[in-house]
Amino acid sequence: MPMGLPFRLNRWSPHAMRGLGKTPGEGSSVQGTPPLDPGTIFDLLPGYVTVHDTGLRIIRANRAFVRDFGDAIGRPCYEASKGEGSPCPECAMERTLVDGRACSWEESLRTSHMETLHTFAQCTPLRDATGKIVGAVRICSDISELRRVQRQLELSQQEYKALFQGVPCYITIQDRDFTIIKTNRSFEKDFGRAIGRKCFETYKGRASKCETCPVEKTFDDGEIHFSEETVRAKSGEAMDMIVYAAPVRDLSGRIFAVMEMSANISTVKRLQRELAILGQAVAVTAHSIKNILNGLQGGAYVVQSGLRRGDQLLARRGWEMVKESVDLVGEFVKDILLISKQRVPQYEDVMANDLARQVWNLFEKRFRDLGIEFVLEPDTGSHEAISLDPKGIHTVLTNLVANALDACLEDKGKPSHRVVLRVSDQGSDGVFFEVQDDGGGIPSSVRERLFKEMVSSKGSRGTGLGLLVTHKIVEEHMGSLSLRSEKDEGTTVRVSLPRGHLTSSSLVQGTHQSPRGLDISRAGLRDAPASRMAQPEG
Amino acid sequence: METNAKVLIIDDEPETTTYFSTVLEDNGFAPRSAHSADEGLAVLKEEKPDLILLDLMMPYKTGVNLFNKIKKDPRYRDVPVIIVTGIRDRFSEDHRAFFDSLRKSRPSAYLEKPVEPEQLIGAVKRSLEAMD
Repeated sequence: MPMGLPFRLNRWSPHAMRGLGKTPGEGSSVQGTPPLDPGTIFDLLPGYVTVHDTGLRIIRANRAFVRDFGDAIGRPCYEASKGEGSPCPECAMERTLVDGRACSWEESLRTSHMETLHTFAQCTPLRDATGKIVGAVRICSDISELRRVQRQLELSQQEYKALFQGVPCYITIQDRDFTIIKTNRSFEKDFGRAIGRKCFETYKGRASKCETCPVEKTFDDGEIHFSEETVRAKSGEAMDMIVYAAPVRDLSGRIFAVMEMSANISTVKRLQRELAILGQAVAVTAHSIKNILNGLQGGAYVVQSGLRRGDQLLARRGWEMVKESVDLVGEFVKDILLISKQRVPQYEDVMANDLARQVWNLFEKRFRDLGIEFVLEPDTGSHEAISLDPKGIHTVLTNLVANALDACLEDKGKPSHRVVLRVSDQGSDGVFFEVQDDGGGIPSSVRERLFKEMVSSKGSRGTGLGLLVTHKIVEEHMGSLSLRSEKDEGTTVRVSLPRGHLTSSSLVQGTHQSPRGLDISRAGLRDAPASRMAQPEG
Repeated sequence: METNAKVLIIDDEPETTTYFSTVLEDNGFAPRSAHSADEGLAVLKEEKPDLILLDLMMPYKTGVNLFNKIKKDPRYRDVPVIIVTGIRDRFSEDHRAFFDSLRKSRPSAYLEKPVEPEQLIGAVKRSLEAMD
């Protein structure tokens, strides 16, 4: 029997002791092999092992305990292993000594070096031959490191959760079927509850996945992919987004989900478009100024030459050239001011026919004087007002009619010409205005560049800024411009405007429009490339 | 260089033809104007000029086509052609490089509007002197 133990330890019966000391694979007993000393085994047990009497006093401690807590024989456990003067409230060992049931718990111990250890304790009753509880064995395993790692993990999880929920971008976790399995707060706020729904359905109202899906690519190759997308929030607002997809892997490295992070770049895109227009305006300004200089220079030379020669006709011709250039300066300045002014559209409920009639009245005499037929075709159906900025649309229609007039004047191939200003009410789809001429048409080489460079189709006439002005106003209305032009047959330009108006953040009423403002497909003149007016980008 | 040299101006902008004609007349040249490629061809057939001022960027690429026609026609291929580029369109380096690559049939000069009177006369005189 090990020293100090007044009772038999069942686990260390002589029979069991005889089995110890064998090498693996040996037979059940080896005659002549000295058994291992149970005391040695006790001392070598891992963790802190103590044997207590019914008074909680330590009557035996293993080497590890003595090393870290000092010689504690005869001292109660609460004093030896915690430095406490009284038993722990609800002492688990006391319970074991009373009810004879093994138990386990976590507790903090304090070593003789004043170090606090977090341990997992297990306690088993010891019984004598009659079955009476005479003591208990306590084994404490140091789980301080485990607890530290656990606390770090909890902290990391809290940080992750805070990040996931708090970042100012939209995050979804999707499975291989593009089903959303987790979303963050920002996403829920703007796109609603979407767990269980498909990504393409939630973001875009589509029935199938997008053609260039970064999530799909990430599932395929495990790399991060990104794309730019236009999506629609639950409010109906269209948003330009930059979308990143990153793989989420399990412990074996298999990709079981993809995290999709999207940031709203609508403001950036708007600024980009405005800068692009500004850049174009600068380029057009340079061209316009050169045009004006050419006219002034040429006209001045011709006037001078005419005066020198005494040729009044020549001088008068030169003066006409100068005057045209001066008029061009006036138009140019007006257009520049219009482009540069941050004018907020003043929406009013207007009858489209009335607006068209105003423009017709403005030009009617001039057309008549020039011998060109100018026809107004108002809408003959139900007359419901449309919300638009009447001054802005008046400018647009004026530009279009002026262009049509110039096209007719430049076309010397026909004996007569006709321009039609047409209004068509499309009900909930809005209203379109159309200006149709039978001039010489716009060459494809110019048509293709009209939007990119805002070049004028009118040669030295026109500032070129009229295109920018028209584009800007139509875009403000979230409307669309479309154009058809055939050589020698003429040009038709259509301005489509939605009913109601869209602000930058919400739809007030009426149908949706692309926030880009230019939607060449809407007017149904899809087959003709953009000509005199702007063409949508992309 | 012959005085009263005949210069054919082909440009769809009347302001340009008026201006160029006036400058050329003031400097002793005999200009004629045409306002389209077709009109230019018709004038060419009537009377072979000593030099052509050609607006390249007339509608429907007619300026380019006309240049090619002139240079392929044995009747006119030796007539020097000065290319005039418009303000409404840029004359890209690609075009210039293309024309320069034509060796024998390249333009004798390029002018970009707005053109100063001295620039115009200088280019006309140099082109005509090169033919002498």
